[in-house]
Amino acid sequence: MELAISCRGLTRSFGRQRAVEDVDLEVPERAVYGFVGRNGAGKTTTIRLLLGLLRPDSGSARIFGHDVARERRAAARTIGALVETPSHYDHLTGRENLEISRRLLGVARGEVDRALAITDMAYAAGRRVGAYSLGMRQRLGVARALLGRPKLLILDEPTNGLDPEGICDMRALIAGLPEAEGVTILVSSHVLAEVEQTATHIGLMHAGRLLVQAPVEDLKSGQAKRVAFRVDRPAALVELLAGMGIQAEVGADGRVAVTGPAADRAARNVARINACMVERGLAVSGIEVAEASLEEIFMTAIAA
Amino acid sequence: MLAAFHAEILKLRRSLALLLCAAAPFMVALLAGAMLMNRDDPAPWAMFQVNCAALWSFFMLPMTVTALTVLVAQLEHGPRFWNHLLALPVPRWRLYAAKAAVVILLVAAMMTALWLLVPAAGYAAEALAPGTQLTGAPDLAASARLLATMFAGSVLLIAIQLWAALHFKSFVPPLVLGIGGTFASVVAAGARQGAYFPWMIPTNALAADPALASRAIAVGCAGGLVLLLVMLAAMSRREMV
Repeated sequence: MELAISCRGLTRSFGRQRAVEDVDLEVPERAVYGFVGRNGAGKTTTIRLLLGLLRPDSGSARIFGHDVARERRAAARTIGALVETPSHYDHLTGRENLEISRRLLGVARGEVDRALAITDMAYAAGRRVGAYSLGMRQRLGVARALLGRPKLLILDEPTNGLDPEGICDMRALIAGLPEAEGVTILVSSHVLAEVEQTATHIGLMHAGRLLVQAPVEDLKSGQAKRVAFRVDRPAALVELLAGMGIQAEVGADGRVAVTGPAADRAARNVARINACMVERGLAVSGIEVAEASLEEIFMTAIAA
Repeated sequence: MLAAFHAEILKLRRSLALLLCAAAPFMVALLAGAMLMNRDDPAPWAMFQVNCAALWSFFMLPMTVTALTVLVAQLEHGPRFWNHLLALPVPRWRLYAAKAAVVILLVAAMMTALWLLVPAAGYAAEALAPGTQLTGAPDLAASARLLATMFAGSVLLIAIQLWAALHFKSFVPPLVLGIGGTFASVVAAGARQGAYFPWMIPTNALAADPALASRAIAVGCAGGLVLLLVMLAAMSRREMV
């Protein structure tokens, strides 16, 4: 699979502070790559390095095979970006704002209308941007990033400051773009739940390092689940499970919980366990198999 | 380059920078006209035109260039627009060169407006205050030469102020530089070497010593162009931290 973004050992410091350290980012083509991490984790610095706004101390970044340091313009031709806050000329209309970028990019006039249509901003194109809501400004930022049909969209915190409705709209817009426009998307956010809903791949930044990077499905399938049983005699069930080689413990709520690596085995054999419980005369009032959330997975990674 | 220039022109729509460019020469003409109306004795048109040019070059030009460069640079600094512009597949020097070209064009436009407004102010003063009298006729050719010389000498001032305005995100440092330079030129006016003080150079168009004036104007023009090239090179290599 061709990589839209490929970084090797990307490192950048500001004075003594290492903002990004040894980052090997790999974003497959057509993916929606959720780039998550707390504020100050190094996401925006990485994005600035990808856009050639900063130079790395060491390492390299390639966009569709173009080295950002040596072929910045060739790499930039494939990128549409929305960096941090949606920056626009407030005294100009939405259309005039896009027109400025269109002229600089040297693309056809129709591109402005196309970008406005995709982002559903055509109705407000004649209004001054100073009167736009934050959600409209963000959408206009995405419209600007779409000018010239880039192969890669880099969206830095596109839902920052949006109300719940605006977040839903932005999420739907991002989710639909790979299919409709054939673009690869790198979307950064400090809200994991936000990215989880649209991303096909996720990378977790923490303290300047890329801790985890994988397709969402792989992340979830490779993780232990949590299995909980509600029975009339918890101690008997713990003994039964121990006999099957599954370690369990009784929680404060009286439920028998299986966590960690044993949870996967328990989840796979839940029907057999249920049959055994019935056979032993245990009254079963509930069995719960819970998927580990990405948040739990990442908290484990950060703690490690 | 043309695309970057067109983009810069488009940014000026409804901007304060354009308003300033319209207001500055108008204010000089207004002030000069008002002063003329307070005169009891007749004044020659040539002197009136030179006085207006002096008022412009000594005070209004450096202050306006300061404000104009700050306003033009703040179009990007304000909303942190450089991130977007510098990430585009456009040679960065072109973006800065287009900005410099637009500022130079606006200064030239202000000088042209002043050239037209001064005679208008003279005629208006005569019409509004019956006692006011200008002798002779306005010499538009001489006035154009004088203002063109001032314009040539102002390139170094424009380059310094533009670089400061583009370099600093805050408008305060370039503003302090501009105000400081303008006031320092009052002191520089008394010294022979003061002719080469960037904020003073345009005023040399009015100097009594033509050789010194020519040298100073040449320094202002050539020095300004060289400094603009250095600015383009330096700004193009700058990181957006």
